[in-house]
Amino acid sequence: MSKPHDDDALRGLRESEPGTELEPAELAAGFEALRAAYAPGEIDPELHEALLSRALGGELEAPAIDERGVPEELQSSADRAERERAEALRAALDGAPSTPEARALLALARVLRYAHEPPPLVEIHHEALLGAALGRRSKLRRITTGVVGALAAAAAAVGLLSVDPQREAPRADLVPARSTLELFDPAEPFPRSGEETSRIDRIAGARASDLRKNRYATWGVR
Amino acid sequence: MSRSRRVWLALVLGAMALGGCRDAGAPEGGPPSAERAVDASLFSFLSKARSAHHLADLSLEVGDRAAAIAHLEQLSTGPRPASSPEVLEVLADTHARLADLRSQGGQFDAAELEIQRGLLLAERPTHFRGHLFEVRGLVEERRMQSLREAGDTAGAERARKLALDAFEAAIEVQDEVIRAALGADPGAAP
Repeated sequence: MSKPHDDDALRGLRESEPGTELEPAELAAGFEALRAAYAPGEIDPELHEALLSRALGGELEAPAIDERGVPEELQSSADRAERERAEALRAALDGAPSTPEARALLALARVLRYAHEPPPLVEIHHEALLGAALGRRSKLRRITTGVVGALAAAAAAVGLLSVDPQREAPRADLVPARSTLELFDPAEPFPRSGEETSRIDRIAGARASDLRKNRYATWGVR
Repeated sequence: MSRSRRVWLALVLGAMALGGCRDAGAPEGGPPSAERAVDASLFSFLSKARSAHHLADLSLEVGDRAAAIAHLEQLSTGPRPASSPEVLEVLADTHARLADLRSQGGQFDAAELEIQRGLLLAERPTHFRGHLFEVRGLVEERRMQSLREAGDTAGAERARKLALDAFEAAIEVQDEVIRAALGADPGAAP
């Protein structure tokens, strides 16, 4: 439904082209373009992506869209050479590459398809690929690898053992393990029977405190 | 040479370097036990010991002496960290309690075995060593009573003498502990 000011615009459009009679469809398209510029409506997200992709020279991946929904003026028209190549590719994918160009095209298509959606790799093929990648090294490279590996292991062992454990853990800062007699009154011997549990309770409690101190000391917390 | 053999060769060379460094550097056996700090393994053992003794208490509350002994045996025969005074003292105390419990059930020889194991751990004059002698006296007292009731007068007399010797040994050890605490004999302190 057209509004009064829409009719004025249509009339103005006609009058701006004196002597030129526009077809109704052309007029409608022009009017639609003006209306979209003046009051743009919602655009389909996929169509938006496609427009962006084409405007940016294909840098964005265009989603799969129904070309029928794209305005005709935005649809690309394949030239003759492109159509011939597409036909050759279709024939190659059908299993009948007839020319060297078609075979090259088929190889390229397979590479692209595997890159986009790789099929699961058969285990034996995987092993073969690994063997080819790892096993076909030169003799010099194998010897070099072995010697370097051995030297690295020896160097690691030397480095590991050259670290003085006394320096690594400042034992002077740590609470040492020691007799528990300080926890009991020396003038009062243990009862003849019983109270073993209370003794171990006291010992474990005291050493829990010592362990906490040692952990803080190890972490450098005072 | 295959890849795995090369890896093994590298490991062997590393191990050889490791052995050479040990000979040139640190003394065998690591630092003396006196240098050992209180660590997680020691505390884990003490925590286990506490649990074992509490479990024994709970078993004794319902009159199940065998279960109490079983709980304590888990401690006395189970894994233990590197020796430290705490480990030795707690184990010695556990052997003393096992001896007490076994003798309550008439297992006097088994009780004496526990005492001997405990004395091997608590060699220095401490309350723990004194307590072991005291429990030995208790065990022999019970043996004496048992033999007397069975009409074995000579056996009861032998047990009585062993009990007296044990109690006297306990008193001697406790005296040493007190003297050490008072500074009269610093060398006796653990």
